Amino acid sequence: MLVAGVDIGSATSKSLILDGNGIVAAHIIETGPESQESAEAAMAGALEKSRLRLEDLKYIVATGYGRINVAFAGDVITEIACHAKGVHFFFPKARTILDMGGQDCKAIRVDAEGNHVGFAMNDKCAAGTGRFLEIMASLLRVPLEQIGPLSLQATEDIQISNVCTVFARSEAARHLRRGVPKANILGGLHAATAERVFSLLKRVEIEADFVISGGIAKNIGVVKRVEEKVGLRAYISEEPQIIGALGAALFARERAVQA
Amino acid sequence: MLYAGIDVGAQSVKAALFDGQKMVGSVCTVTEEAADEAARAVYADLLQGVGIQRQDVEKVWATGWGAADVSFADGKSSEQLCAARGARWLLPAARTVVDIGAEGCRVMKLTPEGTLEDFANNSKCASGTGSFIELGAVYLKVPVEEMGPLSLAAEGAAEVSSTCAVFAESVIISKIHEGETRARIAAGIHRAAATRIVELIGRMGFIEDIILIGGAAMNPGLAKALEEMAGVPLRVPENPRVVVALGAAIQASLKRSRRGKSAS
Repeated sequence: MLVAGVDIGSATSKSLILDGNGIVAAHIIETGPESQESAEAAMAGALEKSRLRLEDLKYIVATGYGRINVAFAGDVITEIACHAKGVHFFFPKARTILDMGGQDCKAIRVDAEGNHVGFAMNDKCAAGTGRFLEIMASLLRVPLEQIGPLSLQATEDIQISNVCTVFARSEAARHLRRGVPKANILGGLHAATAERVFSLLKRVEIEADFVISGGIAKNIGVVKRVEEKVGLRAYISEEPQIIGALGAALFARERAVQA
Repeated sequence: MLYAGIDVGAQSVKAALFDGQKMVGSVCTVTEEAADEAARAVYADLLQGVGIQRQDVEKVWATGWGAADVSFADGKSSEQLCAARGARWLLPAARTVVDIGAEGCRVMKLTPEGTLEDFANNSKCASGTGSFIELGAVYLKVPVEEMGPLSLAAEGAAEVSSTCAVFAESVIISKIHEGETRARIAAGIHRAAATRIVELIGRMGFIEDIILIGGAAMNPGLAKALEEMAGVPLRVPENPRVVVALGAAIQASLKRSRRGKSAS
């Protein structure tokens, strides 16, 4: 039986197809201005990779920021529930999840069955989100995928006193003009991000196993600094960006069985 | 006797010269230099513009976030105090001073006699500061100085969230996509910024007369949005950017006369 999950995030849209044995195909694209178009394009990508058609899918669940605009989905489920379920699939012992996305950040408590039992979220302020790091990467003219590794080469993490992305950007620009090495500026910016998400994590009581999901889980500079703050090693799946879509697909499988 | 005030802000450095009776000169320069060099350059411009020598100035007083770095200043005072002094000198009936800069907004409550009684600050978040409108201009691809006039041409306003200047980008892009006019979006951006500022004015009690100063006060769209949302008229002085620098110069003159009194 084939089912799918679609996760329409603010920055990227993800789709994932699941059968009885596991993941068949997944696809990630940038989210465009229209959620419906992004959903269709993400879904088409996974279908193409698996040589399937939309009609082959028994049930589709949509999640993410743009989930209500996905016309072909049978149901919509919150990102919180989908992340908890998706993480549980890879890491059944996970109890605390940090999901760091493009425009939000969530700390989720999950039980032994993969149900979310508590969460704290920041979706009001760009600090501690992917957008913060994107803006800094563009200021420093360093490709986004290189900022994390470069931040680990810092001889010292420069102190960034502003939380606000706009003000932190001006602060970073001032350091850059004074000739502070990019690695040290990035060190400070990554430390600031870790600080911000740590304050969110503290609101949900951190318990092992600790998992990081979302696009920023691919940034080693943030991961290392969050691990230091939390005092736990973080488990990260091979493709941390598709966790939400995987959770949605797992819900789709339950719905298909019930139907 | 001449007194100079220098206000080192986040984006610009302002200087004003006060002769005990009136403001005899002022300069405002947008700069990316370090505070001390920028202050030196602006001060030299001020003296040159007025046509006087350094030794003609009795005292130089610094204020603003970079005040501590101004090595040639004889002393410094807080922005709140200098804003109160400058505003009160321009508008003797002022009881509330709203100072909106590039990276902060502060509202000062004055006693009937003009002393600083209380203040509320936002220096942590770009919403409700000049930066919010500047970024809005970037997203709308409109020169920042045209934002105010553009918003005044709008009928109504598009709904723009006031929570985060960075997240406003995607809101503004989707508004453009939905076919909203740039004028209505500009009006929405001003209302969003004003929402945060009016919260601060409210904390200080909306006591009239209210005077609006700082670089953002030159934006007629923001002044209008603030007046509409606060429900009270706001007074904008002729050169709102240099009011805090003027206040610093006045503060320098008061320091001197105080010392003079104690000596006699």
